[in-house]
Amino acid sequence: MVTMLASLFSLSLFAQTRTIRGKVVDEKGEALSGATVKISGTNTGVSTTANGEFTLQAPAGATKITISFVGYQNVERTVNAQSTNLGTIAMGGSSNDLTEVQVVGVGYGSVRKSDVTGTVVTVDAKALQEIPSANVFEQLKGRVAGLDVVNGASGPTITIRGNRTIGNPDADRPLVVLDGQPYYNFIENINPNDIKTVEVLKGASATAIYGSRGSGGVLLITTNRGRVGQTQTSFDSYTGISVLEGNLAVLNGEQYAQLKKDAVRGSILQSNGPSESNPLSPKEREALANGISTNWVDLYTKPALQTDHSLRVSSGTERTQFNAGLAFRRNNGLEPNINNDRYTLSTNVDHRISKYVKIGTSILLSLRNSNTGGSGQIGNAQWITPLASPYNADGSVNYFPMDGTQDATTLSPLVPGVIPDSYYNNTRGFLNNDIVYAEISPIDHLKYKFTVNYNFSQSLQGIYNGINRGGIQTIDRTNASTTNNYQYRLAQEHLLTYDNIINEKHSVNFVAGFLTEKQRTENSTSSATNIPSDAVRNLNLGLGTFNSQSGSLTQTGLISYVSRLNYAYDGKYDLTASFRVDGNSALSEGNKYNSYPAIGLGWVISNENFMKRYAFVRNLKLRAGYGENSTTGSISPYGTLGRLSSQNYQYGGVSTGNATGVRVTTLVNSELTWQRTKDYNLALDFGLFDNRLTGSVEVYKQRTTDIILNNVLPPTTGANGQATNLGTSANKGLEISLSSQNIRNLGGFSWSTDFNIAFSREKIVELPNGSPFDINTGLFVGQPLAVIYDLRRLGIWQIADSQGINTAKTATDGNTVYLPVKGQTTPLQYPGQIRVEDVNGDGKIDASDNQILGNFQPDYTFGFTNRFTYKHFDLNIVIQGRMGFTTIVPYVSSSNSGTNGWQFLNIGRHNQPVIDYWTPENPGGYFPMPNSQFQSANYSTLQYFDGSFIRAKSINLGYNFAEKVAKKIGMTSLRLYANVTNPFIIYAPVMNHGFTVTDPESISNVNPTAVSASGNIGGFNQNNNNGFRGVGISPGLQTRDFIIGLNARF
Amino acid sequence: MKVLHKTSFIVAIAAMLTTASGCKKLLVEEPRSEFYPSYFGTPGGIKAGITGVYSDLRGFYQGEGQVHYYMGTDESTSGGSAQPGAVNLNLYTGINSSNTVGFGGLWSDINTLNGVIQYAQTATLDDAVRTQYIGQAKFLRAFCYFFLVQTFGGTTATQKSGIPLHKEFNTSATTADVPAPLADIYNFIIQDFTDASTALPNTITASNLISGVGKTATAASAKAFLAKAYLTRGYLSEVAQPGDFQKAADISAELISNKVTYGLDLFQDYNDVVKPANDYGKETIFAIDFGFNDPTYSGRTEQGTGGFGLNNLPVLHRWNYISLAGIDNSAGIDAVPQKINTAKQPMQRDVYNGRPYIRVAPWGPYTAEVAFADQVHDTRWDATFQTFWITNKSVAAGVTSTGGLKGVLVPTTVNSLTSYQPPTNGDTAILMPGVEVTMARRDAFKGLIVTPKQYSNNVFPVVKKFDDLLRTGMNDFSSRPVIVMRFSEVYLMNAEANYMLGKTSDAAASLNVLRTRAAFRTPADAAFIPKGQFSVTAATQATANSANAAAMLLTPAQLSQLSVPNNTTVGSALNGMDLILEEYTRELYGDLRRWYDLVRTRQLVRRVKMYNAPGAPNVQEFHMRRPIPQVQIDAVLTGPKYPQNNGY
Repeated sequence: MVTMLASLFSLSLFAQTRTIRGKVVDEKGEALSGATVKISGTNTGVSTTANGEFTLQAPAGATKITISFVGYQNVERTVNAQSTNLGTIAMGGSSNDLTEVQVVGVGYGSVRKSDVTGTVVTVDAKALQEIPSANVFEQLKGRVAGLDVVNGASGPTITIRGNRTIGNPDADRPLVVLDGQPYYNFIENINPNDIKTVEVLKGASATAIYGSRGSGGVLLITTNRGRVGQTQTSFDSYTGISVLEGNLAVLNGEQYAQLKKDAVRGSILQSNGPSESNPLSPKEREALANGISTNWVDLYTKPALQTDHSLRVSSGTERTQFNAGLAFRRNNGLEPNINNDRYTLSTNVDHRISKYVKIGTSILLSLRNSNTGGSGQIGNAQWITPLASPYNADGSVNYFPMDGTQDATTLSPLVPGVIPDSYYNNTRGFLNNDIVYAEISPIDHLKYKFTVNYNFSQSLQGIYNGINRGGIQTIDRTNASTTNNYQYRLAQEHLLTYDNIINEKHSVNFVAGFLTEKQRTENSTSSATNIPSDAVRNLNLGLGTFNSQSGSLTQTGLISYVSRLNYAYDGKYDLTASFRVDGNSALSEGNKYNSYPAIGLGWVISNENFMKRYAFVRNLKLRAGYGENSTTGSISPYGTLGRLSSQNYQYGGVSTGNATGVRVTTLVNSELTWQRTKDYNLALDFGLFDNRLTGSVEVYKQRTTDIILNNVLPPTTGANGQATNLGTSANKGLEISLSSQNIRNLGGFSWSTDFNIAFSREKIVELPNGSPFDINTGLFVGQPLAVIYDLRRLGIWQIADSQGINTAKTATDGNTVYLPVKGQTTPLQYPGQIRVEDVNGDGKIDASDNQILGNFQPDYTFGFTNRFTYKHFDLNIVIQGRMGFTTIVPYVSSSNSGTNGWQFLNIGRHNQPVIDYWTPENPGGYFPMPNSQFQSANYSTLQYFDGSFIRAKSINLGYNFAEKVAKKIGMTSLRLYANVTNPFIIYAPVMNHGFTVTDPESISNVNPTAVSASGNIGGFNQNNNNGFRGVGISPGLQTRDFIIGLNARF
Repeated sequence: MKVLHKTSFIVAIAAMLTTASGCKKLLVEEPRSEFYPSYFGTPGGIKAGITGVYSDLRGFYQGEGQVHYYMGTDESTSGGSAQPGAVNLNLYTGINSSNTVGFGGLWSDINTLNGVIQYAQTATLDDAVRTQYIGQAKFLRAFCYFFLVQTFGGTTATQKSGIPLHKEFNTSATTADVPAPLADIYNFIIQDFTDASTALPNTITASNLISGVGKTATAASAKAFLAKAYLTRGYLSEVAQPGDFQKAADISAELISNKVTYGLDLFQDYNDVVKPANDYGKETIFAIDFGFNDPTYSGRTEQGTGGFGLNNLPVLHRWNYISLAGIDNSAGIDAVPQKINTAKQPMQRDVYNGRPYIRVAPWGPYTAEVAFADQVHDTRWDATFQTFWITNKSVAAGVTSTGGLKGVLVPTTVNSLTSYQPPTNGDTAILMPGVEVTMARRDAFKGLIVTPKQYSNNVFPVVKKFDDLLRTGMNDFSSRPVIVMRFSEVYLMNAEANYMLGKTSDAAASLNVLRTRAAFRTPADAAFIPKGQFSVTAATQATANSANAAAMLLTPAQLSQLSVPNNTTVGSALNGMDLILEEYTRELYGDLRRWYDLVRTRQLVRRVKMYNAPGAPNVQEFHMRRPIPQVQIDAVLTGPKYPQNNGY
């Protein structure tokens, strides 16, 4: 109805005016959308469309129009009856100011930047490409205040404005929207070189339009599209070497032998007797005598090659534009037998059929082929004895360097490199993401757009574990499997948009839509053992012995209604209101629908008359918003139906007795619904001194209620628990972003700076059934969502603390034996063991002495980017910091083995990092004395350190050839550059404790040494909480990359 | 017009696509790759529910949790590497509601079985099939309740807490529950076992509806457990019914006299009882299966170093014969540990000797010196324990023992990491002769001699009756079944019930059947007996066996002890129950049972004070029930607070 009236209104104008058409482009010929076209001297005007085009109804007497765009110089054109089509109008004098993008995506369309009331931060291609990477998440590190990127096992993960979901940080990941459509696939299927901008939507007033999927924030990724003008060809290419960023220093042969001696001394000193549990083997003695000392990590890891090539062609006529990008990337691992290849083809076409109808399509094809067969040996490489030769006399690899010790069957880490066929793990994945749209504009200002997104992905994984792999000495233990994953998603979107400026002062943008989404995932796995030949691998499981077969299907549906009104009055007052209803199949019957409101207000203070006198204030805007949203990451499909657990059984212990079984372990859940986040946002945007200093300050407050937690049921009811909407968390924070142009072209020299800093405070407000804490899962009301709860290490018990010398034992044990220390009765401790705080002073160390020692939420995170240009040179440095949090270093305390750590000081069984351990001669040692019989109690207390770090993330130095030179070789421009990723660490206290740290950046998949394993009964089970971050020992997560590349334009 | 045509064409296609996707159906969930409760309405689902419970019982019997059967008894003590919880149970200090003993899973089993029984009434099933399925479900339900009630009890006039009693299928979440009267729980268990004993077939045959292989529930197992339930209730003065002991005696006697009907019998040679080949033999009544192949069904996982199989019993009972067995003992040294030179370890891990966890050790003062005092006439010590270790480690050339007198370590031909051969030659590295030896014998012996007085919780004879020699990895656990009811136990129950009824001669008769069987030896058994111990040859077999059988009959002194009535007073003189409990030890040592035997006979406190020195000062009457797990107490939020058992 509104639209009908509006169109009638515009029709009535039509009669008295003439139509002026044209197109506005920047100095590069790229369309400028959102430029203002006005009849000079009046306020009558329009904005240019996404293609830069405008159609202005001018009164008969108008003679001139003025075209303006922030950051450009105004352009005037004469109009008369003969020249109503002004053709292409170029604007010049653009600045590089990133904050001045006029139109921003806000989900289901875009609005003028000046009218935005929520929080949207745009990062453009230029900034992203300052960090060459396969993964756009990696490129976002340090770029946006409040967007925290942390590495993990499967690549970087993003958290925006802290964690909300208790016990499930993965539920807080942002929604990725690619070219307007939700994208759930692995992010590395998108070639970052295809990305034009990434818009980050923070806070519920901006993200409520995404309803049940919005509470983790939204990343709107927009890819390059064709533009009107000459054909542009660009070729971006780089090649580099990745090296291990830091190598862990482990004991050499002599130090290792000394450790064993010290372990026996420790055992005697601490009254455990002179026995040696893990003596040097005869072979190790021989190696020691021969001066053999092997550094396995050096032998195991090798610098790896990475190379990345992107070719892009785009062009367009007034009616048809296209863009096509083809890219190849290869990224090998530092460990042997690991590589990743990616091929992407990204094409899109937009075509205007007529004034009324426009159609287009985007197709992304991605093929990824990866082999990870050789990984996972780094732990072994670090704990295998250095007193063994890696090679036999004939030059072949020594398979069992630990022969003669308790770990005789441990394979050399070099074996996977020698027999890659036995370590085969190959995945080939294919993704096809197709977006097709048709846009109909039956009348001015009104658009109906219908979009279909079909997304199909498939991967085939083959694994073969062959002869001589760890533990596989006979053919019958070989095993192989083939896994098929298949997924498709079909989404449709009907959007009606009305966008108009009425009476010059009323800017209205209204969106209403209906969307559905269906997603189906199937997979199947077959496995066999007893593979007769390495040649077969997994390719005919029938040649082996059947092992298992399994399959799964999940299908989810989503139905949504969205609407948003954006209203701006006179460029001064903005109002945004949105409302969304989501229906989701994963919820139980009767609870499937949820609705999400949001409202935002904006006041452009700088446009008020009273501000005119403050000429240095170019822009000043106050924004406030409120919104509600959810996350769907916390309920899995079919989760409310009371699934029976599948429990098979082999009667009689023989295959003929195989039978499938089920058990009732969960109950039907008819009340479960999404948790809900309510968010308040207040912000001030500013542009000062001719916009040389721009930025914004934001504060926010969130409260997440009905968090899905396990409601523990009495075991006697037959079910241990049920997912229930219990629990509340709260977040608040402050974010500051600044961009400044410090020097603008002073003798050819320019310098600009981007800086952002975010302070975020999360806490648990309420736990199930009103309990103040849940020690078993490590949750405490009033604390952040993941905390460390353990005893506090005070130091090492000294000889002076002992009650004296045990003279009787000293006589028989062959060295001085000390009596227990004074003041602690349980457990008895001896000099050289870990001294922990006895909080209640009762002489006993028990559960009541546990305390909260720290958490993983940084006090603040920041990013600091400096860009310099001097004549043809450009240089940028990206610095990133996460400050004020506790990290875990399990490898200096662990009883585990594997990638998180290994048996540290465990009665001298394994090699270990060089650490500063206590001996009577080294009373200041940080770590306890090794003991050949027992590990010092409470060794988990050794693993907590200040995790703060500031690092240079990348340095990129480029040279732009002069236009003349470039032209000579047939290019419009050519830039050569050299880049170092992760060049150096500026500040990291964890590196100052006498042991080496490969990378201080704490990653999310490092599990701590179990508090209970170290003897502390009252500590919690770390497996119940996956919010931990720590410093690991695996290579490849952070590498130092040396890259040379070029950007050529034709 | 042309434009309009195109536009309407596109709009039409768009509308078509929209209507084609059928919106309402999008939100309907139709799971297809998993099972949901409606599955119980199908015949396959009912059988699967029973299988699921067997599978959970397998989980119940795997892992290290089994130590609770051994800890705090006269037979066993916590090994040197025992977990703190096990030590608490052994010492009777610090036992609290966090020492949960098999609580959670069994309630899911009971609920599943309640569902099976409910749905089986109405499912489309042949009546004979229905009867058997319900019989299976009732047996398993009673089995779960019987374990739980023995462990945690029920309410009585003096006991305020215990387990609840759920007879119906529960499908909705609740945070309310209350303990049930002990009398009701026993009535329910006895009713279920009784129903199962008439519904189930006498033997497992190929046509068995649950499984043609293995030892699942039969009428015989239902009767054996029914006898045990009556026997157990008979001691519980607050709920005992007149005739409980008589019923236990009658039912066990019926099983013995009709053993052919039930396909049951005793092996002639006790050594055969513990052989893997006989795990499903005539002497096994009911067993929970593990398995080696098909991880989908056997549940085993292959780990790099952890190994195949799930049955942990072999490793729990094993001492660290590698690092604690250096044999550099000098002449004249007679102490354990003897002076050990770990650089000259004579042993390494192999498939035969297995992986040491050191969680449970036989308690020397009782097990070695009282129950198994007679190792000459009684074969059961040698059948149950590994007492010698043959050197299996090559030692670098030129390395000799510095002790001089003890000689050189000789590499043996029995040195294999991957294949098993019985140790038949090679030097004996470690010998536990079971008796004290002279210093001269020690000095003459190349290896290490460990005598009973030197047994500790780190150095001890190893229970070998669970060893799985078919496994291929030396670190693997076992894929042999856990045998929960053996036919020999029926004789023991018969003896125990008759003893409680005062029928001493009937009790003695049953005991003598087992005792005389235990006297039988064959020359083949000698391969597993240390040289110098008692073993028979083909020539001596007949005479030795008949002489031993005569020697094993209860002596007049023992018979008169048997006629002393049961007395649970701490410090009272030996009575007949002591004799019977010793026979349980000899016949069934290592099986998962001892704490329950002592609790059933109400002898726990007296026997612990007699034989378990570390636990003796702390053990009290209330310890005959385990504490209600804290999770249960914490999770009951509706209605009255769930009470804790007395004493905790």
